[in-house]
Amino acid sequence: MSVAKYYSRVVVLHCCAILLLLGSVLSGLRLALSAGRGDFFSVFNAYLPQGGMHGLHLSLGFAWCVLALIFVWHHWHAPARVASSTLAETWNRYLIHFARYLFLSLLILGGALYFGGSAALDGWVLLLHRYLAYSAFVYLIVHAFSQMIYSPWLQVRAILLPKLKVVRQVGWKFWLPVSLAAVLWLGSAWIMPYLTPQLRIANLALDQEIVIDGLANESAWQSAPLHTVKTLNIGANAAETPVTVQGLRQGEVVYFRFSWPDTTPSLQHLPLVKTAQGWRIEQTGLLRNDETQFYEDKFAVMLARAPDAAGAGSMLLGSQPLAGYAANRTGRGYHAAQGALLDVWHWKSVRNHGTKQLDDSHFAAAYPEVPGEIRYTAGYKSDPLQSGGYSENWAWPSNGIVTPKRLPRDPAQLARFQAAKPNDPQLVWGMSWYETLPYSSAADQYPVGTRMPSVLWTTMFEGDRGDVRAMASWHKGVWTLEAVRGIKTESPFDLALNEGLFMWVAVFDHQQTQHSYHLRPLQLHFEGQS
Amino acid sequence: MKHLIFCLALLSGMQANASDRWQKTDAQGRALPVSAGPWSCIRDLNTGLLWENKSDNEGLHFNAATYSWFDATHRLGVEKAGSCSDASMKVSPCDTRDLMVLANQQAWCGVSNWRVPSAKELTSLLLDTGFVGNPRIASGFFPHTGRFPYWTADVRPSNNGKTEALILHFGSGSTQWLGTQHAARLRLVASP
Repeated sequence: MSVAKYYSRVVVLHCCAILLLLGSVLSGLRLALSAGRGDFFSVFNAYLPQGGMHGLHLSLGFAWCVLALIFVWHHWHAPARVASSTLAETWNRYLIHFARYLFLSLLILGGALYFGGSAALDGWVLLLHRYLAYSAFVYLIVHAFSQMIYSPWLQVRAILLPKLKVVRQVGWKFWLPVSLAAVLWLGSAWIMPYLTPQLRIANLALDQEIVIDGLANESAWQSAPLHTVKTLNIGANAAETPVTVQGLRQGEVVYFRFSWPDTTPSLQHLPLVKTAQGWRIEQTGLLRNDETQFYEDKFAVMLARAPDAAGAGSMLLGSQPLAGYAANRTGRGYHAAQGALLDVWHWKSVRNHGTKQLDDSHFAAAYPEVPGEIRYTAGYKSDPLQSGGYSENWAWPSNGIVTPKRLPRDPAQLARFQAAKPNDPQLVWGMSWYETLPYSSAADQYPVGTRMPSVLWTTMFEGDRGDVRAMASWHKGVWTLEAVRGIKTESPFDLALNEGLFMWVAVFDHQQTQHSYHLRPLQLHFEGQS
Repeated sequence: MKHLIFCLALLSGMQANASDRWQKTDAQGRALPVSAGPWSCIRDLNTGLLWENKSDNEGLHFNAATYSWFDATHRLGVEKAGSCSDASMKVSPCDTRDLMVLANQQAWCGVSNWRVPSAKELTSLLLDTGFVGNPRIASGFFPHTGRFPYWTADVRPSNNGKTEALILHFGSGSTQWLGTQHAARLRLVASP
């Protein structure tokens, strides 16, 4: 190989590496920032890209793998060079050696995160990946300065401002594998389903009964295939939460059982406390949609026809990831599925208590902002509701004093909440609407310090929102949720539970919006069905 | 692309205008900031009309209360064929006149000229939120609006010699004539 051709390839490879590094670092920083792990780089929040960063970051990782192979091939075909032992050249040599190990480590860690789950080694892999990525960015700068010892600016300029002739000089033997790699990269979405683990759903005989009670003590559950998904809540506590999933099909309905560990069942939900000035909501982040303390436990299941990472690409990161749409108050992002519909089952330990239902919801293309609404949720909506459900016990949320919407008919109803132990699994902080009356100051004779639930249950969901029957129970540090739904529903906001559908799960450990997640979905496979 | 950017800018402008159009007021009619709440009425800054806000609590402004359509001045319509509660939460049969009288007696939001809106006035509240699960209204300002029919003041004699009034459905956004003996929801309006 001629020296000119060799250096032309060096220029092209460096250009590719710089572009990939910038893309990877910027998208990675957005991922870290949205999880509250941006470190010093949080100051660049306003300048980082927004939107579906998971998919971009992963596809750039795939491109890195291809580029690394091309680098190896290129290195093998390098013309012989005279070894130099000057201090500067020795420094450069060691620096490049370091870079090889650095980028190899990043790729291995990235692969571990993708295939092992973002919770790999309880978050340590993710942490290491993040700090090595910072190192790679520092390396880029040090490497550029180090190259100046050969010819000030000449090499840097050749790479940053490449001449068109290098495209011709590198030759077709170089461009052929690069083009194939590009095609593979673009086709990675097609490859994804083949890399997706299956959720095997066994058949349940029609004469066997599953009671939706959250106990899952039927014998059918003992023999149903069990799958464990490792989820990670990066933002809240970087804790890994393994979720076990099972499915059983009985004719035209499918039962699911989900269970996950939680040492502290959270059955309080933004309680009200009486102060000398009036009632106040107990909260630490409600008004920015990021309550992390006085909030119920929740769990979510997402179903999609596409396997793209992070919820079929529905996680859009940044304070305003969709141009022309409203910002979100957390600054972390929101969900929207442009051009698709994702079925979301959202179970809430307090608000869904007692109705044997969960909140059937969906992610769709971002909806327009409704004037006056205080929280914009982009493509996330609960499915249409005719009647029923629950209500909060205030007319308007505030950091200060609020007027409760209702008070108990019998003040003694509140007695059980006053001496409540934290995380009491038997005490659900809600009141039936029908055991309360509209607020009146005459009836508000409660002493300062009185605590009152803020969840008012009315009746079961009537309408699309009530399509999934579900109930959960907490026992000895484990939540178990049983859910059942027909394969098909009448709702245009539900997806049919067909072969090949993709599923993700998420755990909200007393978090309003921060939840654990995983990248690779499970794919529904009905055993014994053709 | 130019068209797309133009449409986005137009949409953005329309949304901003929609928010700027409404002003919350308390029960005495004092203006409130857009971020404040709760509120009792909503003023349309384009027309000056003041609209009653509804509540999901039982009482005079209960969102699920229903009324038959009745005009006492012209003795048109049917009396007391709906179901509503007064300020003391006593549930009784009622009609559109009852809510008007009580709201005017209270000088709700500082005014005493509450009335049933015309179809043109009520239709001016329609807003396509893009989601069929939402009522067709700026629900951030008009919470607890149901996807149900609401009475207007437009009335006509029906074929059977009785009267019909026009209803506006906030689920479909369509209008329809309905016999005044039927029960529908009601949102009062007051002229400036």
